[in-house]
Amino acid sequence: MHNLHAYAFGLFRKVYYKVGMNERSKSFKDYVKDAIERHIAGLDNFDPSKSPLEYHLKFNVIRQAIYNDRTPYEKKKAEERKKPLEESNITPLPTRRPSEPSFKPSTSEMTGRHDENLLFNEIEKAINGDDIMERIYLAVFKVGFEFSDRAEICKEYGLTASEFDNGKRRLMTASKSVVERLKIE
Amino acid sequence: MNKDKSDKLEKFYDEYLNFISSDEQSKAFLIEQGLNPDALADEAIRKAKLVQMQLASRKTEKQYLDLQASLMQKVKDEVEKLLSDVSFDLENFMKQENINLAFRNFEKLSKKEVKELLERHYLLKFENELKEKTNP
Repeated sequence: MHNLHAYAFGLFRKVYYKVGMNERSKSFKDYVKDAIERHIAGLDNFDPSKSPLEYHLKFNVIRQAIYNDRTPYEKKKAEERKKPLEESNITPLPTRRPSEPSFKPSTSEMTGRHDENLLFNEIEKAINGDDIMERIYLAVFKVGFEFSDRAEICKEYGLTASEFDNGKRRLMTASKSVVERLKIE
Repeated sequence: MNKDKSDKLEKFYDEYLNFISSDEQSKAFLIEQGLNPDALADEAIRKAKLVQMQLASRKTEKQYLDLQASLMQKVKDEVEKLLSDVSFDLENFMKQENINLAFRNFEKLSKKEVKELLERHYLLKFENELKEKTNP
């Protein structure tokens, strides 16, 4: 259950650029409850031979619902945010309305700016000097491997499986800190 | 929007979301966000139990309605069979089945009234048989 909530929270924040309610008055918790309800009622087309239940609920039910529930306005805002800062005519938004709960009282809401270059620049700074993390980062984000291409990456970049697993975990830990930092004004 | 850039970001977020929602990370991640993971889980489980109860209740109701429908069909078939028999005699039938009527003018009953009377009788009879089967 924690996994589903964490997934829904992270994805909701990415898609809607806030952690309160979306335009359909739903929060990330509602998407988890709906997914479980649909599964219990047998409305989610779950096929255990195709994927494990957690994977299915995350990717086939929660993910789909969060994306599908975007209103045209929210889709337009998302497109605007993807433009580089200099091209866009929107300013950072105080996206939380007074009535919305603050999940993290010590921080403010996201700026609403989803600058990809900034994200990857910060990640590169964070992993600078760690050879294994840098190799994995290069393989996946510069050369074009997938994280699942573990054997190929290990072979190409001279890593053992254990170095890869450990390195990937450290890379994601560093990336997670960057994501959290960039969402603070 | 550069497709390569967008793929790179999506690739990053897919892995990031996998990471924060993994067994090792999810609880800590939720706590970092100022949330109470156990309270969230309890709330979701409560809702799930409510849904299960509602489904079970709807299923029971459907089963009951299906049973009633099938019983009614059996009753109608039985009555139809009886009435289509040229030798059927209502008075004899009532004596046989121990049916007591408050009045004796059953000769003046219309076909429709006879049919209703027989259907009521068989419905009660089959319901009692069913009760005896399920609660011996």
